[in-house]
Amino acid sequence: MIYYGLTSLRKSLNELHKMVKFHNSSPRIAEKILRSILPYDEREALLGDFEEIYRNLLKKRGGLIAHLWYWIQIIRLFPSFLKDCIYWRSEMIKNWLKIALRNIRRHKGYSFITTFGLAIGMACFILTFLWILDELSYDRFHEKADQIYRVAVRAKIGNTEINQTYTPPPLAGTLLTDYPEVLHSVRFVNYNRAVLIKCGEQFFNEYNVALVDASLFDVFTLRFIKGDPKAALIQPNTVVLTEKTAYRYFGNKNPIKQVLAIDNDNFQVTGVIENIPESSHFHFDFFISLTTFPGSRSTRWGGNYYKTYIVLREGCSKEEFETKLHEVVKKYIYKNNEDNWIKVGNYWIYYLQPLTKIHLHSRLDGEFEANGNSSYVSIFSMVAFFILVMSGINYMNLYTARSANRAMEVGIRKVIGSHRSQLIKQFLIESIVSSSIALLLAIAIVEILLPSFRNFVGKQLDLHYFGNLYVLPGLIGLALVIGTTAGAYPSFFLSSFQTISVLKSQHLGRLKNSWLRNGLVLIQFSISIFLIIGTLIVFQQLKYIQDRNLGFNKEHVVIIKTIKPIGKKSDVFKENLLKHPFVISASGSHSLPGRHFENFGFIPEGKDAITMNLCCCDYDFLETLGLEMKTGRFFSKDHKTDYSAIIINEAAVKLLGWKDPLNKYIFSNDQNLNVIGVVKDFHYQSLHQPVAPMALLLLHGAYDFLAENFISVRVKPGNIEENLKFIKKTWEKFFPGMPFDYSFLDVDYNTLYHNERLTGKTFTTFSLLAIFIASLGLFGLASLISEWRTKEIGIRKVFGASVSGIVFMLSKEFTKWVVISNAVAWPFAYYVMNIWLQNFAYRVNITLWSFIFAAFLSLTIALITVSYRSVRAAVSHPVNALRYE
Amino acid sequence: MESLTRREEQIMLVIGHLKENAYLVSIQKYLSEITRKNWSIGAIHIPLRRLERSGVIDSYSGEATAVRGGRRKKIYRLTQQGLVALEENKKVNDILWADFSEKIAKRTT
Repeated sequence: MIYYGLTSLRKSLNELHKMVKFHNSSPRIAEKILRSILPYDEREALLGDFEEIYRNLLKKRGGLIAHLWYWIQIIRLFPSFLKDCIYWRSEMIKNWLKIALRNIRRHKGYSFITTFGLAIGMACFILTFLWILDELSYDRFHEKADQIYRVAVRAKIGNTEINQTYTPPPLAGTLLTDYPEVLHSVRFVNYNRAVLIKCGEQFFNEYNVALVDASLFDVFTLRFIKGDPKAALIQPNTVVLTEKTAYRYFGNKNPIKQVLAIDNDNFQVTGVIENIPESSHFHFDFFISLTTFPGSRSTRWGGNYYKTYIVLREGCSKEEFETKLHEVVKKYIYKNNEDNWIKVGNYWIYYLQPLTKIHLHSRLDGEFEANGNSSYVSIFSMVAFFILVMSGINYMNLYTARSANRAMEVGIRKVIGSHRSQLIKQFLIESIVSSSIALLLAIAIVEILLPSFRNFVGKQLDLHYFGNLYVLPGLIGLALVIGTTAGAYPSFFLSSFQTISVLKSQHLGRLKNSWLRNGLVLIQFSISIFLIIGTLIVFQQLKYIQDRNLGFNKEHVVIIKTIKPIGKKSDVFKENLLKHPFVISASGSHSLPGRHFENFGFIPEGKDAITMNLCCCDYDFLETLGLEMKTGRFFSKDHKTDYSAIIINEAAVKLLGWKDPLNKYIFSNDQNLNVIGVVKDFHYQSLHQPVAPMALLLLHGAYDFLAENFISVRVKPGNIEENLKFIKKTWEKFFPGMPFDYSFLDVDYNTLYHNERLTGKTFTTFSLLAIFIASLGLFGLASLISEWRTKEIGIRKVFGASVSGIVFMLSKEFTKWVVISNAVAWPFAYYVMNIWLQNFAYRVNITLWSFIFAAFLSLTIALITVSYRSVRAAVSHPVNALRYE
Repeated sequence: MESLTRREEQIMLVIGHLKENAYLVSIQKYLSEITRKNWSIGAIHIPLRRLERSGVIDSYSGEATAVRGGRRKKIYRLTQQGLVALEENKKVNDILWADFSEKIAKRTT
């Protein structure tokens, strides 16, 4: 108020200089303001009074005083004007609210359809929003989250493109000492396998074990419950545990200074930290000091197995520092030999990944765990938004359609003197009331669905109403926004009725042929059809993945995760297993399909060096996994020389361009390896990628440091429990105290498609919802239309129309629109699903069938919904219909 | 019926005095002159509205003059009900004053 007063005063003074000389009448702007705030009935008289006083003043005391007086009057008028506004507004709003609630109560059916539809849309939106917020919140809990970066590698050497998180041991130290921009740096090494931990007399298999530098706690915000963060990991053979792990091992005892045997080495617990939040891209339970391992002081730039994180000084830009990383590459990787690298098309680039982007945007080799996926975030949010839009459309549509029933009210309100803007406000308030009720319903739905939704996305999500300042205002805002947008069109439409034509009931003709309404039905059905097609194609692809011949048989294989070192004892174990009639074969290997394979360099005879994924296995690998040979033979106990033999897959042969690969030599790890066979390609990675070149070697051969991590046991189908019991008993006999940690090959392999299955489920749920909402809307519309046409139907029946003819007549219009929406949705669905399928190297073709099925389904549903009402209208007695109104 | 406030009573009396010229500005002017203090427009307009609503005065449109930018005056006049109300007020006032005068008379003697 005061501010307004001052500015208007200043304005008026400016005015003054311009106007005083020329005008004898009151200041024009001030008069306009005055006019707009004076009550209508007295406006003219009061303006006259003001003018008269003004002129008197002008005459007696001059223009300045007169102007000032005029303006001051206006300023003094404002408070009471505002008070009046608020008072009458609130009176009016009370009335509107009453009418709104009355209308909702009177038309229970329609109100239910619109509100429930809206509630479902909102619930979807809220749930998805929760999930997205969670996805976006990853790693933000670290105090320096915005300054922490991970150094990643993008490189190309020979035939291999490298995109990995693995960096050489000296990188972290070099960056810290040579570049003042780097505040802290830390290195991680994680085991790709289970680690055997012995506590007292008990053994545990642990997967979440990492080796880290002592600077870990300078970089990441991991709060200590016990112990000193500065000293915790400096000494060799020290370990820091998370709270839950400490409790698991030591209960309520003080864990500090307790001793754990990790891989047969003794470690002292020097600290306990709080559990790592769910929204972190790593979840380790054991942090072992890197100083334990002499290899950590290595200055070799060749071996990449450390993950390097750095903290940049505040104000340092990522791009700037990346150019400095290039200097590092020149100095240590290219070794001033850059031209040689570039010449053959090789390169090596270090770049920075902002910590907070890792979860959603990074999918490199050597991630700690499977990260999220930004494209799923966009798909989910898009679909949830669709559903929300659809339910909004429902609301709009039914409301507009119902306006016939409200037209009389509008007419009478107008006659009584309601202004158009008031009517608009009234209808807007009605829709906001509905959307608020829908919001309450939506919250109830969310609360009911949250447990299963948590299961569905595998995350602990919660709707904390008071946990965050934004939650409640956000929810209320959602209701307001939806109420206003969905109510905007109906309210403008309703308030535009001409009083006379409304009272003469001439408006109905115009209502029946609303292009907009049909357009909205079209949008709804297009979305539903798109989602149906999407669901079908996702499931086709999933089935394709499931059914495709992978080149190995993933069924009926039990996998035992071994803990090193089991050594030669494993052979005896395997032999003993084979004694059981249900065990077909057993084989040890370093890795298995669906898991990570190490990549090594090989120099084939007469060719440039290439890299291949390496699989170290034993003699029975071929039989156990059900692989097939293309040519040559597999490793055999009869050939003592097989420790220096190599088998490659078809992809490798193709890469090398060898016509006859047998008996060629490949040099690797200081040995000349003789090619004895070619194995047919099998999909050891997911079907997202084409089969990459692979080399198979015997365990304990040229790459003897690759341990036997897994023992696969092929069993006969049936009675799996019995088989497991036997395998377990044998295991315990040979490896007493070691945990029997098993899984199934098909289950393990299928985890590769976790995201795809999630998409499938999402699409199914959302398309069901979309269809449901669209049918709700259609049902409402159909009922309204048959209500309007009651008289017409009656007359038609009197003239001899058949029931089926009338049903056909009523359904025809909607059918037309559903057909059109098919035409709209098809190209869109084709386009989007084609993009999705590009994710797979091996994919189904999009067939016409899924489109036709979607069309069929949408038509059937539309017809069923519409005909339910139209049949009722058609079979009713014409006399009732003619008495209607 | 509600009794009139002093201000309302004064305004009504001025309306009666000014007759055909009783509109906002003239009422303000006259009151300001005889009470020798400045009455703001609001101080007169708000009681006028109240009085009009309660029916003791009513109004009609008067002639338009150039001084008013060609706008009509809203001229007020007393209604029958207004006259009754004034009379009622005067009666009460008279009783009160009579009472008061006697007491003063006693004290001074």
